[in-house]
Order: sequence, then C-alpha cells, then structure tokens
Amino acid sequence: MVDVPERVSPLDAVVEPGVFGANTRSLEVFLSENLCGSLVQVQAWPDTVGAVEKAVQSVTKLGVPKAPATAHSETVSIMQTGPGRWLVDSEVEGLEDKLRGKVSAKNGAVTGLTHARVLIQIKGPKAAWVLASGIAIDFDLTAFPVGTSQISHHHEIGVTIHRTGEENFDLYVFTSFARGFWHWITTASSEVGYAVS
Amino acid sequence: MKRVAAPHLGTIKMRLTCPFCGERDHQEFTYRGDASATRPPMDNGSIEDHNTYVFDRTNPDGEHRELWNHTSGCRMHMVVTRNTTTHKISNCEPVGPWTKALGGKS
Amino acid sequence: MSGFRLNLREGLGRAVDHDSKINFTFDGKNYSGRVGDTLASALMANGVSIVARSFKYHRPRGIFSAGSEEPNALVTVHSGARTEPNIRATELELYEGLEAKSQNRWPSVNFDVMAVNQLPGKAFSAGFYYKTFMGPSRPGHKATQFWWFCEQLIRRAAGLGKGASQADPDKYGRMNAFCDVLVVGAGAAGISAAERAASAGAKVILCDESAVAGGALLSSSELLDGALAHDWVADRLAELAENENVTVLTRTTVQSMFDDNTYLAIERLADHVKTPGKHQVRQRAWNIRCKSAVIATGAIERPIVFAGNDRPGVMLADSARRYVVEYGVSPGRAVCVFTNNDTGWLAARDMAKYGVIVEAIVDVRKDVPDAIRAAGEESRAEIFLGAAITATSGLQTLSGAQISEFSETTGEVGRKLKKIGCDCIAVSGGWSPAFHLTSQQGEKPVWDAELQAFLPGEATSSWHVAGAMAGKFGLRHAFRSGEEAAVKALAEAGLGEGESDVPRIEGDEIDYAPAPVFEINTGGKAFVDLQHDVTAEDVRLAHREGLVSVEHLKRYTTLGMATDQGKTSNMSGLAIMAEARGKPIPDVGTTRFRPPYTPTALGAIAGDAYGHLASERLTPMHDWHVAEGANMYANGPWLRPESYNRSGESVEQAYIREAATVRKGVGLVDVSTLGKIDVQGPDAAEFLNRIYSNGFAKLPVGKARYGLMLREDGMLFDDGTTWRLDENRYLMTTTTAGAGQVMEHLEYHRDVVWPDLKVALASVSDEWAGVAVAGPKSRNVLKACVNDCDVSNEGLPFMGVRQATIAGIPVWIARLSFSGEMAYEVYCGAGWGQALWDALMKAGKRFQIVPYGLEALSTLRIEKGHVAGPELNGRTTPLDLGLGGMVSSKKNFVGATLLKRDAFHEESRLQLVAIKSIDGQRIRGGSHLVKGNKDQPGQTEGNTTSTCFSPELNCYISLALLEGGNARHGEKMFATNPVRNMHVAVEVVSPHMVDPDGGRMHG
Repeated sequence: MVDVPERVSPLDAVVEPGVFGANTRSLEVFLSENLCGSLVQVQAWPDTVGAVEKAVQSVTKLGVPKAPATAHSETVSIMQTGPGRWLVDSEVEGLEDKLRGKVSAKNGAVTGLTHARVLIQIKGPKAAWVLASGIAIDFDLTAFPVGTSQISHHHEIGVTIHRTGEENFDLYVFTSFARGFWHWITTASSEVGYAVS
Repeated sequence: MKRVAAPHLGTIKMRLTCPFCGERDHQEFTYRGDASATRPPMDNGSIEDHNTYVFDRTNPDGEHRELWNHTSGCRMHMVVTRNTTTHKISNCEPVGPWTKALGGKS
Repeated sequence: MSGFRLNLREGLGRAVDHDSKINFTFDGKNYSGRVGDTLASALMANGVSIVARSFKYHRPRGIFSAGSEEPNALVTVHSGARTEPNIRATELELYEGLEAKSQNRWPSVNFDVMAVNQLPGKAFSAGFYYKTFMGPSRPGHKATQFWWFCEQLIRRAAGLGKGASQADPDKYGRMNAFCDVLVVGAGAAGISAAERAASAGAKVILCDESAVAGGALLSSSELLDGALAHDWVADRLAELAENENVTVLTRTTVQSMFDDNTYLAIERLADHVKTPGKHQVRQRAWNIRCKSAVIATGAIERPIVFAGNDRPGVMLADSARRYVVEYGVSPGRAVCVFTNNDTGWLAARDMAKYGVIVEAIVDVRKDVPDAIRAAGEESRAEIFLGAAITATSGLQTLSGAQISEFSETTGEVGRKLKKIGCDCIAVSGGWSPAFHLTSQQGEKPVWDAELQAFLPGEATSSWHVAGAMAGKFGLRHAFRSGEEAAVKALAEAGLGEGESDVPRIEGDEIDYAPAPVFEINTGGKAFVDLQHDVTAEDVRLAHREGLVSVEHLKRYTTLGMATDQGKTSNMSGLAIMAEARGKPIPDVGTTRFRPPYTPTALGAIAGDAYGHLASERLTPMHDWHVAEGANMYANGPWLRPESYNRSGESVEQAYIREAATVRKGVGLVDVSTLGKIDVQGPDAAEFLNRIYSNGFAKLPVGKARYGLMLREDGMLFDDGTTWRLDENRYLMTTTTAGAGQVMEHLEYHRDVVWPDLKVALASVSDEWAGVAVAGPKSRNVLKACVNDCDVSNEGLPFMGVRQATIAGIPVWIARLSFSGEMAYEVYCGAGWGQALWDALMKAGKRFQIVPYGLEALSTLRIEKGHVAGPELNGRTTPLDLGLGGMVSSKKNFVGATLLKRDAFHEESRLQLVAIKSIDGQRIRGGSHLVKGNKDQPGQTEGNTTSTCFSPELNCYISLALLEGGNARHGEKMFATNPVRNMHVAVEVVSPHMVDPDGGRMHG
C-alpha cells in the first residue's frame, strides 16, 4: 500500500518568501498561500434547506450562516455562495465523505472542490486597497463587514472573498488561474510594498 | 508563448442588482437574451412554436425584459427590466427554482 | 507674441516657486522655467511664440489657452517607447529634463515646407476628401483606388503627432471606488459642494483635473473671508483632505459619465516627473460608482472669430490674465484686448496691475457699466467701444491689429479706426459651460439667451450641476449653487442636509452675459476650429451645399472632431451656421459630446488587463510540459502543449512522430483542460436526457456515453462524454473552449426552462487533472500501475468507468478513445496531477511511452474522422457531420424540433467528408474545394476544416465540409488557397480513414 502523495499547489513554484516592491520599510500588505484541507460545496433543493442545514451543522458543529454572514471556528469556515448553497472549508481532510454520508440525493448535492481552489490570504492596512484596485466591490467596512463573504471576479477569474478581520481577507481562487491571480495581486501590491510568508 | 487578452477592458457603464449578491458592475453578468421568450413544453413538438421561441423578438423601443446570469457571482438568473431608450433599469428580480425563497414573484 | 517673465513678487506668479529653476528642452533647444510652470507658461516666459503647425494648412500657431481646452499647443513628449503625442502644453507640468517636440512640421516649426498647403486656397476646403475621393471614377483610377494612391501622402501631410511604435514600458493601475457623493471639479462650486456633503457624513470623492485644485479661485482677485482667494482655497482643501470620509484627487480628469451613476476618471500620478518610479504606476483609471454626483466643471471661455485670428499671439483673454497672475508671465510686450463682455476688461485691469502694457480694449458693445469702464481706466488702455478687430498683421507672429467700427446689432463693419501695434490679442467672446459629461449621457442642453450659451438640461439621473457649468457665474453664485447641489445629492444618498457657509466675498460683481456677437465677418480667413483648421467660410460652404444639420456640419467640415472636440470652437461654428440659416441658435442645436473629456492614454484604459497580466489557465502539469521543451499554445484561456519537439525536430516532425507512436505503441496527453461539470440530483438523468440529442435515461452506473448537445435551433453546440458515477451523480466533460458556454447553457435550462427539476450543477474543471493514455500498449501501462481495479477487457470494458488508485492517488478511470486506439482517461485531484503523470510515465517507460501534444491529438482524431471545434462551427447539424444516428427520434430534447426543418435535410447541404492530397502537397486550413484548375478555379463547393499530415496514411489529409459531400466520395477536386498561393489536387474520401469499424478501440 502506497501512501497518498502530498498535494502540490500551482503556487508552490512561484511563491517566494521575502519583502518586495516599493516602500518596504513600512510594510502594509502581507500575502501568504495555503492549501485547503477540505473544501466542499453543499447544495440544497428549495424544499430541503432545513434538512441540509441540519446535516452541515452536525458535521461541522457550526450554525449554518445566512449570506453575506459566514460562520467560523478554529478549523472550519462556512460561506453561503448562493441560495441554498454553502462552501465549507475545513482544515480537516475527509469532510466530503462525511457530508455525503449526511446529505442524500433526496436532500441535495455534495461536491468536492478541495483541489479546485487555492486559498490566498492577504492582510495589512493596505489589503483592502490592493483588492479594490482589481475587484469591483466596495471594501468599506460598512459595505463589507468582518465575518461576511462576497463572490466577485478579477479579469473574469472568479474569487470568493471572506473578510476574517478588518484588515484580513481569505481569497478562494480557481486553481488553474491561481498563478495569474498571484501575479496580479503581487504586482498590485508592489506599488505599496508587500511581504510574502 | 501566445498571450490572451481579457475581454472586458476599461470602464463600468452599467450596474445590475443581483437578487442574492446585491448591486454589481455588469461585467460580472452574462446577457442571456429576451426574458419574455418561453420554451414550449416538452410535449409540444410544433416547429412554429419553437420558431417563435428561438427567433421572434419584438425589439421594443422602451421597456424590455432581459434575462441575465450573474456568472461571476452566485450564478443566479434574473430578469432585468430596462428601458432601451433611456437605459434606465426599473427592476431586477430573480427567476428560477429559488425565486420564492428570495421573495420574488413565483 | 513675445512673452516674458515679469518680476515675480507677492501675489504675482502665485502658482510658481519664484526662486526655482528647471531645465527643459523644446525642439532640442535648452530652456529653463520654474517649479509650478506648465510647458506653455515656461515657453511663453522664454519668448517662444510658435509652438505648433496646424493640422491641415500647416499654419504657425501659438498658445491659445491655459487649460485642457487648448486647441493649438499640442506637443510630443518623451522619446522611444514612451513617446506620447498630442499632449496639451497648457496642462503639462514642467519637470527637470522634460523633452518636448512640436508636431506636424518639417523640417521645423518655424519653417515648414508643408505650409504650401495654404497656397492653393480652396484645395483643402470643407468636404475635400469626399469630393476628391468619393466622386466618379477617373481614367485609370477608380475613386477608391485613387484614394489608396493618395492616402499615404495625405496622412503624412495632415495629421497630429506620431505615437510610439514600441510597447509602452509604463505600468497603469486601476481603482474601484464607491462613494455617496462624487464632486467633479474643485473650483468654488465644487469645494462648496464637497464641504457641504462631508458635513453630513457623506463619503465624498472630489476630483480636479489640475495639479492644484481651486479652479478660477487660483487666479481670482477677490478676497474670501479677508484672504486672497488663492490662499483661502489652499486652506479649505487641506481641511477637506484631512477628513477621512473625503478623497481629494488632483491631476484627475473625470473623463466619462456612464449609466447608473458610474464614472471614469484618470489620475495622472507620474506625468509630472521624467519617468515613473520603479513600482509606481503612471496613471490610474478610477472606476467610480456614486449614489449621486455634483458636476461643477466650470465654463470654457470662447473666442470671437475674426480675420487673421489664428496668428500666434491671439489667445483667450482670461487665459492671458491667468498667465500673468498665476505664472507671472506676460503674454506679450503690447497687449490688445478684444471682447464682447466684461471678462476682457477685468483681464486688462489685472494684467496692467502687474506691469503688462495693455494698448487697447476693443469692445463690440456701444456701452459698458461704470464699474467696468473704471476697470478699463485702471488699465491705462485706449478704449474702443462699438468696435471690433477686423484684421491682423504680422509675418509669422502677430505684430498689429486693425480696429474698425462695428455694429453689434447689424453685424456690419464700419470705417477703420486705428491700426495698433501689438504682439498679443486677448480675446473674449463669452463663456460656454462645460456640460460635456451630462451631454455624454444624452441630456440635451438648453439655450440661455441672456448668457448666449447652452446650459446642461434638467438632470434625469442622480447628478446635479453647480457653478459656471450650471450658468451660475461669479463666486457668490458658485458657492451657493455648490451647496444647493450638495443638498440634493445628499438627499439621494439618503443622508441629512449638512451645513456650510458661503465665505465673505470682497471683489468684483460683474455681468458675464456677452453681446451676441460670435464673428466679425470681413471675408478674410477667419478660423473657427483652430485644431482642425475649419474656417467660418467652410461652415458657410457646408450651408450652401445643403449640409445644414449640426451633425452634417460636423462630419463635412470636421468642426469639433479633433482631439479637443471643439471645446473652444463649437459654439462659434453653431452660431455661424445659425446666422447662415437665418435661424436662432437653439433651433440649430448641438452635437453630443462623446467620452472621454480629454484624450486618454490607451494604457490607462487597458490598465492591468492586457499583456503579462492577462489571465491564463494552466494545468497541474504545466511546468513539466515547459521543462520538456513543449511549445505552449493558447486554446481558449488555457495554455496547452502543441508538441514536444526533440532537438532538431520541427513541430510537424514532432507531431508525426508522436501520433505514429500512439498508433503503434502508447502515448499520453494532458486532458486537464476539458470542461468538467458535476451534475447531481434526483432529476439529473431526466435533465441530461433533455439536454443531449442521444438517449441518456438508461446509461448504467459505471458507464460513460458520448453525447451531442444541440442549440435550440438544431445546430450542434458541444460534445463530450458523460460518466454515471452513481445513481444520482454524473461527471460531464465538455470541449476545452466550450466549457463556460456549456455551463451557462445547462444553468439556463435548469433555472429558466425547467425550474421544477432538482439538479445541482457545479464546475469541477479545476478539481480534476486528466491524462489520456492511448495506443495498443495502453492497457499494459495501466496494468503496470493501477491498483484496486481490474483493467482487463472484462474488468474495464469499452466505455466503462471505475475507481482505482495509482501510486496511492485515488483516480477515476474511463475507457474512452478519441484517437481510435485502445485508450483510457485517468482523472485525479488536480493537486496530484503531476504525481499521476509521473506514475504513468514511469509505468510506461518499458513500453516506450511518449507524451503527445495538441497537434498529435488532433492528427489522431482527424484520421478517425472525429469532429471537434472546427467542425462544430455553429453552422453544422448532427446530420451534416454524419452523426444522425445520435439524434433520438424517441424523445424531445433541446434542438429536436427545429432540427426537423426541411432545409436541414436537403442533400445539397455542406456535409462532412475527408480529402487526401493526391499530389503530395500540404493542404492548408481554410482552403476552398473547387473543381477548376488554378487559373479558373470556379465556384467554391466547400472548405477544409481540420488538416494534418497522416502518418498512418502517409499523406496530407483534411476534414472538410462539402456540398452534398455524402454522395461524393471518390471525386477528384482541388483544395485552393489563393492567399497562400496553393492549389492542391485532392480526392474526396469517407472521413473514417483509419480503422473504420472501430476494432482497435474495442479490443
């Protein structure tokens, strides 16, 4: 029996820790990249929302949020991405099978997206400024409060954005586009200077 | 290596209100045609009716019901009522299985 | 004009640093100026009077204005890749090392051989191009051919500057901004509006096109709250900028107003330095969405049209005043003011106050108010009332003006009064509100007879006008209207009224209404549009030839069509046309302004959306392909390996080798780019059965099926295999390029057409990496590495789908063949894609497995007659492509009904065939199938779609669409490609060229 190999992120080859861009003495943007442990989409039917919410709750031990609000604990984040649809991100692997066990076809659908997204984190006083330079949503705290999520795009690259703090954002980016997105976000950040960890 | 240009350059020009995500630039949406065209039911095989559904359009000067998909957001469909003369949008409402849940007309 | 720098002192030269020195060059000559100068003010200070040659006649031209409305002083800055033409010297901030060049002249701006264009007089009059090149054909030259012949010469002679031919090295940024109230223009009205809005807690963006905001306040002689307006405004702006709800953007031109309260502004971050810093963006495009806007863009002074009015030295009166007050530069040694309103008198007074010699004030009005007369006396100028300038003199630049009697009521010129020596005529013909933005939105302006100007019409959307732009001239009106507009804007933004005060104003109360005089018609060459060389006579010629509507006037004479969009000329042109037609001006109407307000660099519009920042999709095995020397090829947004060229191999040699290896041994190809859609739900089977033209209801679990998707009009839309993974769970694959459209097609039918079906759709294209292993030895390769699954013909039959593991990686294996050989598609999570690839390469090593690219993939399927993108071109039905057997007659599906239309069943339709080259020549894509020889090919009867060299058949082959092709196998024809000068003898054959009964893939 051979062990399951390590997953490889498309960013592994391009993410280089260090400090870059202008004005590197007072850094205002910090970037990092993570692989999701498990990322699963759960879709309910219009008449089974309650049942699916219950199933998700029993697996994640978190109340299912109503968009734009998100729910999160140490190891799990839940974002609503459409009517009756949630994206569940867990540091723990094996979430897809657990959810599939709880959500039957009668009640909804479970789709594994662990490999389909790369998680890029951006934080710092200028994080929202960098994001606003490419993504056409209002990053003002009143329009996009902490603990909410939004779906938008950059150059037609879809991105799900979870605001985890005033200056902290989790960005879920399509894997095949991840390098292009990384290239953009580092270029945009270079105007103010940034650090990669 | 051949490079590809992003199709949407530049400027905004129009804002649409997605029933789920809220107001966004039109670049996030895809136009899906005249919302008043209805597909004949599965048991209708009449060429005339299908022809009307696919080809007959009124091209009104004034209010027009347009079908849009929020392709770069939640991917919901919506009907946008837009005046073709003034470009004023008077209504955006959801369409599809989730219409009721979002408070739209069935 | 021979301008010079005055002795700078307190209050004089407010915009410049009195003790600074900046070096720059103009046309290669060294000059110096001061910090705060524009190129125009610095040139004027250095006595440079000819700065450009005109567009058509190459006449010498001088500086005309002091702002973005400038028609004459267009220069080219930088050199090499940064070369930028048509920059207005009046806006260009001076910096150390600036290099500027004049345009449209050869060899120099002072001596231009093209100036002979002036001599033949009527040659270039209005409509010249239409009359010369679109008339009846001439012997030997059809009109358009004659145009082609002349075009190069004309383009060289007439025109504006030349752009760079290399890629722009600078970076351009973008910003998405949201606010409650956008204020456009930071003059008195704009500042007042911004303060008011901010006081109510609104999020405000205030934009001004100049380096220093303040508009007319910067050179105003008024005192505000006891301070010089110039100083007062600086304090107020500093205060505004400190408010965290307010964003003040200077050097930022709001170029366009679009629908739904959206605006485009361009911020120039590094145009006032020699080169941008390493990480600095040169310009930033602001996409601004606001709840409401206050438009306070001011007004543009317009000239009076008179004979000889284009001589360098003739300029706008208020601009002349601004050069004196703001830059401390006198526009001439002897200035003559010509006006039809009070503006000219104040200009004369203010200029004289700082030491400029004003020789005369000429006003068309018979009488002026006492306060104005007093201002004239202060200037010590000779006063001429009821008079006009009727001619000018001078060799290249202005040296004198003829003053004659003039009646403002009849427009008649009377006896000559005096000839005055002057090198500057400061002219004011009144003010035109800058309603460009609201006009862009299609709002029709309204004529104001008092102001002799068009004002913006009623706001039909969430914008409000203020200040001179709204016809509210004078500081008191400007401040008040700014407040009022802000209150309306606040209400729309759902905020309270706020509060603010109008400052205490000490200074002039003048009447901005001009006498209704736009032209002094003496028959001499009088220019209306200085930038496009349109004269008053051209306008009358257009009238005589019946081109009387403003839209025709514009296109026939090109009035207002230059880079300045006629900012200083449209009004005079309209007035002259109205006069010619004997109609009031409002009946003649105006044309609509188009975005942008001022010329905008394309780089700023494209921003980061092109070139190295364009979005590309990469497969998980991308780096491996590149490391193996593959040519990467764009297929939709994806980059895919075209072929893996070994050293010395051409692309053709490489793909032939790769394809031949697959036919005899085994190869593998990265198919991660295929669109993949997860289809789930209790109604998924029914849904797929309605979407595909062939049956899907009875597809068993663990099996895949090839499916055809049609558009509702019966045309083929996309194809691919769909795998039933589970009772209620399917994996659909689509073509690489069609993935996005297929997803939308499915979503449309689920949401809009059949909302009662319970189907979940999710794009999983990025979730799965895919590798196809193909060739007679493919099963051996799988046997060598697959665990947990029997891959024998019984364990994994043709079209079977199984779960397994390879090197510890969980995979799905489907036995599918695109190449016609025994083949498998293996899918795993994208993060393991490279590991899977490596495992298959390792297992295939002893079978001499080779990677193959897009070209070989295509060759294999062409040999088999399998269709792909070039055949699914949106105009083919399943019947055309020989796929009629996949059209179910037992069910209704998308496209079923309209496919029954008679015309789709005609024998003469273009039908899929293959052709083989008989004479050994290569067949090119896009060739036409004809019967005739090269000299007389005859009518086209079809065209080639996908071409290649077939290693299996050892000749060039192609799939093709041929009229009635099904019945024409065996026919000899030619594939002709006149563009490439190729005419290839071919034989029409069945598209199933290799293994027609499919024995190899079933084996």
